[in-house]
Amino acid sequence: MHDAEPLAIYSLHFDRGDAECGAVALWSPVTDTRLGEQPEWIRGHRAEPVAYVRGTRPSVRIALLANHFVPASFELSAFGPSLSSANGLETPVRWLGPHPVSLERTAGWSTLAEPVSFNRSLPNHIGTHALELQWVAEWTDADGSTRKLFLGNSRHEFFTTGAPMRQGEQGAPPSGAYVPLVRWSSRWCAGLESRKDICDALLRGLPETGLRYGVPAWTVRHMLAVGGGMCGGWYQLFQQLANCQGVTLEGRTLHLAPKDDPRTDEARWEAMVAVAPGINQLEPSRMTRLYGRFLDCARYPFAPDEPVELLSHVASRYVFMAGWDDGHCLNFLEDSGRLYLYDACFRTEAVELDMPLPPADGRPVRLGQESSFRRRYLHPTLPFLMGTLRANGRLWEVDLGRNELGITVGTAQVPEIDIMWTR
Amino acid sequence: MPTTREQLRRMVAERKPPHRGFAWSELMDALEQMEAATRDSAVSTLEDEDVGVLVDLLAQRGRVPLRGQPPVPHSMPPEELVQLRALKILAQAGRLATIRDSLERLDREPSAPALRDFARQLLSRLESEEEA
Repeated sequence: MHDAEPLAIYSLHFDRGDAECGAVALWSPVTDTRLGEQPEWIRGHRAEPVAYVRGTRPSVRIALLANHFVPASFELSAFGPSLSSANGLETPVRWLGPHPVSLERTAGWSTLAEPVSFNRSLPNHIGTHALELQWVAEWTDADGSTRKLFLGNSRHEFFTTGAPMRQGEQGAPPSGAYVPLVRWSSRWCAGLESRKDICDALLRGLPETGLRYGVPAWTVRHMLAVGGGMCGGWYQLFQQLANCQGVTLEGRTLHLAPKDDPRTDEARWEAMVAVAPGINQLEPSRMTRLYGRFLDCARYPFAPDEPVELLSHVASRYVFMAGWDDGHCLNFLEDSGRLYLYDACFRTEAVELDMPLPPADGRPVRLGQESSFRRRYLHPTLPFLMGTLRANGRLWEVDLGRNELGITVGTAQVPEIDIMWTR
Repeated sequence: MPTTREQLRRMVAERKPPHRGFAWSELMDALEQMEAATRDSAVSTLEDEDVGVLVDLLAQRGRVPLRGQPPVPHSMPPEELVQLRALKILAQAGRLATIRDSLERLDREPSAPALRDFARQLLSRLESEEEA
């Protein structure tokens, strides 16, 4: 209940689901519904954020609640801080009005016939903005005296994004984006202009989400619900964060090409191995790690009959099996003729590569040791390859069912590695 | 002792899954055998019962009664991996017409990008074949 004032601002509706309203549709990941299905602001009841592409002039559908005798006609205005550093952020300006209003009734609710446009645009840069509006009605009495009635405050959280986003992307809501993603990306990228700077800021900001790597969830909504995900979810999350700011990324899954040697029963290679715990983890996740005795080979290549030192480690690592059934999901940004790799799970900085964007055609690609992808990304991120190999006079098999982990070889020591890229 | 492939066929024919469910590795091996049947000969030797199994795996959205803990693939959930493998085998065997509904569903519903892309490709191939 709120105090019965003569006339009060009751609800404000920004995202009305039509193209004309210009709002970015924000979705609740909890209910998978659009916040704008109801007015985002309802007095004493609801205050949800609103998002626009930067520099947009919002319009709002306004409902008023009249409790006592009030004038049937007046001019409605809303005042608040300018949000512009040029004018002084806190300098009060008239954001809306004076807009002529004729009430349908002087007791109860009246919704204005048409949405009312703001007088000014939102800031022309990426950011998050708290805007408190003070609503007033002004009119002139029959005796010529001017009257002003305070209709209450409304507090809003506005997000301004960098550019229009693509709608209905894989795993995203049918339009717009999940609200935490727009909030995070607009805050982390505040004031940034270049696509590369935006993606770098997103990567730096990810730990703040609290979401963890190694949790069995593969969609953005599921990740938000359970607090983390696998790389198949993380790369979609990163794509959607970038898309909130109008930046398009190319997602790719890196597969290791398996190659069996029927003459020796060896398999080079069976898996890529990561030792880092992943984002927001102190140790590899118990839910998805592989715990066992790894035999790390001190040098490679070696002949089957020559002695080779195997360093035994009981450890927790992540294992990405070779072939189409598994892989590691990444994003690429093409910007100013350069290619940058973003690994939301294991890397905190973009990796610049001397190669074109790999086509997602699944064809084998052979990587020599000089490949920039290998040197700058693969070697530090997935530092071991696991294989079924002959050494010291026996075959060391990989059989995860029996927790036999073959031999793990330093990725950097392998002369050639065959990989495949898919979407 | 029936093989996993035979147990899968029986599960579809009699709607009776094996009492203890399938081990993940055995399920993958059975799919590998079916894939090999389409790959290793000029004419597909995939039998109708196998096609029935694969169509049913897709219709059940990759859900199979399992025993033990399946491994956690990194790029997609285990159920979607089962569907991806079933799609690949049926595509190789030239049996896409039997799974139009599943392809349309996968194109429509949220799933791993690789699975959705592959379903889209197959749907478009199927439509071209039907037009021709």
